[in-house]
Amino acid sequence: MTDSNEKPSPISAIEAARLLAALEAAKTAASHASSEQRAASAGFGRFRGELAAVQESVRKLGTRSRDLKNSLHVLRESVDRAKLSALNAGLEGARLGEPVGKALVVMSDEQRNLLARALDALEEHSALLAEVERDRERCFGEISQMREGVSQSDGVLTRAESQSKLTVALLHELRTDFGQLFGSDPEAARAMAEAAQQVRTAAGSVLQLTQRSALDSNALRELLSPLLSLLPNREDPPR
Amino acid sequence: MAQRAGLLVRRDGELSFLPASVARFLVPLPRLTKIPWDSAQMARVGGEVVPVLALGTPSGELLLCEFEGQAVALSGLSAERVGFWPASESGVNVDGATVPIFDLRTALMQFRSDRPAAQQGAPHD
Repeated sequence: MTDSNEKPSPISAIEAARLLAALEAAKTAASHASSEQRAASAGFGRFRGELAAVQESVRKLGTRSRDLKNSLHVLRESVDRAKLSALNAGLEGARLGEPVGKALVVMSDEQRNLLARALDALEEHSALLAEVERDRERCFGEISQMREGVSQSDGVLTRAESQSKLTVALLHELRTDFGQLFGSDPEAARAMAEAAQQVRTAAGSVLQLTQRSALDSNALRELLSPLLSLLPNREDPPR
Repeated sequence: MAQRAGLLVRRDGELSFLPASVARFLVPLPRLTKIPWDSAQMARVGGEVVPVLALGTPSGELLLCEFEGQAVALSGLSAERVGFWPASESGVNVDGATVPIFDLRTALMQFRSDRPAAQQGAPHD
């Protein structure tokens, strides 16, 4: 029963219960958000690790590419020298004159043709390798940018997680303050609101019964007034 | 028709013919050494020191020649083919086109005239 000297609360018990429920829901949502952010942050961590591994592989590809380039250079030198050898053999044949040296000259010319084809192929390989190297460098740069982006996103996520944790803590504090503000435990406030609802329903039923009976409604209202004073003035929809 | 045996070389995009009696052999371009107070360059080829006539941009090969009993190396040429070709008035016919004989004598004379006199370039006591 409400003490007549006590200042009435600006909000009803039902409103308090609703606020409490909203508070609880907000706290739960913030808690979920925090754990989701933690999971996402862990995912980002794994992704960052995988990106680092990919970047390392791309870097190693660069070393292989340089090895290949060196091999091609050695091949090119060898083909160049073989070409000079073929020409020198041809010069010997030319000095010997026809018909003795003719075979040597013809062989030299054939060899020179083959070596020219080999040189063309080597040039093509060098060009392809240069293209691959350009692609690799572009890839390496893009992975670096991705890693940077993931790091930034991870940082944002970590800050968001901290904010969520802070929100949960603040909501918890708010819940405690809420209890202190209404002089009771929020659970008790909820129980009170439910009880008040039941009392109101019961009082309404009694009033209906009275109207049907011969009992004077005014007398009955007087009789029920201590009970009705517990209820808020306006109609609250049932929770 | 008489045949000429020799080497086709390219210099500044132009083909020239060097008889096999002049062109001895080709080597990868060795390190060239400049002679102090002189524009001439020397190279060591097969243990022998030979003067080098720079005829153009170094091509990665050096052609050893023998001219009037003297060894001389030519750089800035690119050897293309060796063979026997029909002789023409000024050189050889290669695939229907006339390729002139490389004028080594003129090149040597020009080389000599371009060199600063040893007395002018050398330091005095």
